[in-house]
Amino acid sequence: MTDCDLLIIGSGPAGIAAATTAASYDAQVTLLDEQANAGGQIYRDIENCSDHMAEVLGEDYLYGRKLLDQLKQSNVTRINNATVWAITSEGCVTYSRQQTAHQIQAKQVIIATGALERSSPLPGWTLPGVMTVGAAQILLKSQQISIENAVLAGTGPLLYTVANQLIKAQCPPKAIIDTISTSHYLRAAASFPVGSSATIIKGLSYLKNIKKAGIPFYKGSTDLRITGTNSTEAIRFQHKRQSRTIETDNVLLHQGVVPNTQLSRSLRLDHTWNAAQHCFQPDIDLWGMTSTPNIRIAGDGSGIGGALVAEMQGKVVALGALATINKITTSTRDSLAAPINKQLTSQAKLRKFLDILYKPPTALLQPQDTTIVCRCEEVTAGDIRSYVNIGCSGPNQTKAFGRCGMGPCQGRYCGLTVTEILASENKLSHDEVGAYRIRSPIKPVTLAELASLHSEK
Amino acid sequence: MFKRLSNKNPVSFTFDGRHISACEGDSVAAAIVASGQLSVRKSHVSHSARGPFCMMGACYECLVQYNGKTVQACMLLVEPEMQITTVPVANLSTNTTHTNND
Repeated sequence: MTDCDLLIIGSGPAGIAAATTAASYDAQVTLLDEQANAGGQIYRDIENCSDHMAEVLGEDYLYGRKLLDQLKQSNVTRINNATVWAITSEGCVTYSRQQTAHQIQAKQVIIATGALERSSPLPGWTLPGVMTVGAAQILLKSQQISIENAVLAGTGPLLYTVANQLIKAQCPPKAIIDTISTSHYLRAAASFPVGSSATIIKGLSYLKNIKKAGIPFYKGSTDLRITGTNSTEAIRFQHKRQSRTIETDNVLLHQGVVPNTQLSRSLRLDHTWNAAQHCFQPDIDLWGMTSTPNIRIAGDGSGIGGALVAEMQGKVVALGALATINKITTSTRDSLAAPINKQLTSQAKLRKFLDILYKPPTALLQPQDTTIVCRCEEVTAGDIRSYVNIGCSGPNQTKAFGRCGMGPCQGRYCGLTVTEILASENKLSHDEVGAYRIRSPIKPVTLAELASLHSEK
Repeated sequence: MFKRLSNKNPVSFTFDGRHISACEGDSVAAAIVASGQLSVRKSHVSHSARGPFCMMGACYECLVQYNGKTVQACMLLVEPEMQITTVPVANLSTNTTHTNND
């Protein structure tokens, strides 16, 4: 077991910003990441980006180089390929690296594990050839692999970003099946973020490029269904009261992102339902402190704000941790955080607009009975509703009734849908229904890895 | 259809004995889908075909076997001559999954 002042889990924008901020005030900082290189998913493999890929991926991605340079110049201890699978309230973190487990004891832990793409449970979404839009972007960033003739389905900023990146890679999508209903545009317009014109203009330019590339764009589509026998063959949907079918090998789904709460849930921290973002998020104070004083959370894992907000939060949360371990005074903390908090307030207005515009469609939050919700154990929405009829009141009971959420992904992709269905069927609030109880190990580990802890001193 | 935008140092390995040409830096999942094969295993309940889904180590759809262990193909980098095989369906639930028992 090793010791450090501050342990940060996840080296995306929040984790890197927190690490470099803390290291600049003399704290001993260790930064753990599950991937081979720093950057998180948003700046994934930024270190290896070629000139050609820089052109394809665009300036928002290249911004990550600045963060990576700061990290390289700092004296942060970086441990990559490290999968964290247990954490205690006292700040002891266990991770595996190359089949060996290790433990670090920290005075303060910052969880910066970011987001997961929201599930899009719809008929046929388990077929090979269906991936998330984020997965397609990972192939571009990490492997320089693009997808030709893909159909993108859903909504959210990432979907239009990736559509533009595929166009730049000379692989324009075959079609975009957009699920935003017209009423969302009208409702969002009422919350238009006046100070955020640059972001809005960028979003509009993405839509313009999609139009210019001649990509069929089916706005307000419903009843999406992917068909095929052993892999994806087509996607069917309703558009303007017409049934349409588009043949394709690859469907890329997206409905925005939600906080990855596996670690915070495993600590039994308090979480609250965010009605605007349709997901749970951990309760934190201004300095990222959770209901357990040694544990803080920064970035999308504490509520979705995007990469720039995550970076700002990383700095603020690091300042909070530095004050707690007496590396800076509370008045220094407050004065350093004040200008960042001002920027965060202006970003929050933009987020409110995006949340209204990209609200997930009810059909995905409450899938039809035959649709698989738990991909691992193949439990359908109808199965979950049938558990309610025989007395199932909470997510944990769905495990006993039908193994829902008990597969290797440990409820990452079905948890929120299960909560949505149970809330609706039992006429309870999402907070009353709650979420799966998550236990360590939060990722599968072998007995050999567990045993390897014995030789750690 | 997957398309490589650059062809860096070639690496080759096998998946169930089938030769797959990859590039250095590919994850096994990326290399398999880029070779045109979208399915990597059968689900353990209905034995339906499954393939890589999230590519970031969260969904566990891309499980394969390597050196006698069940691993996520998206979290494993290709190495020359590695032998990857399909996860045997009957073993899936007993060998790899940690279960939450409430």
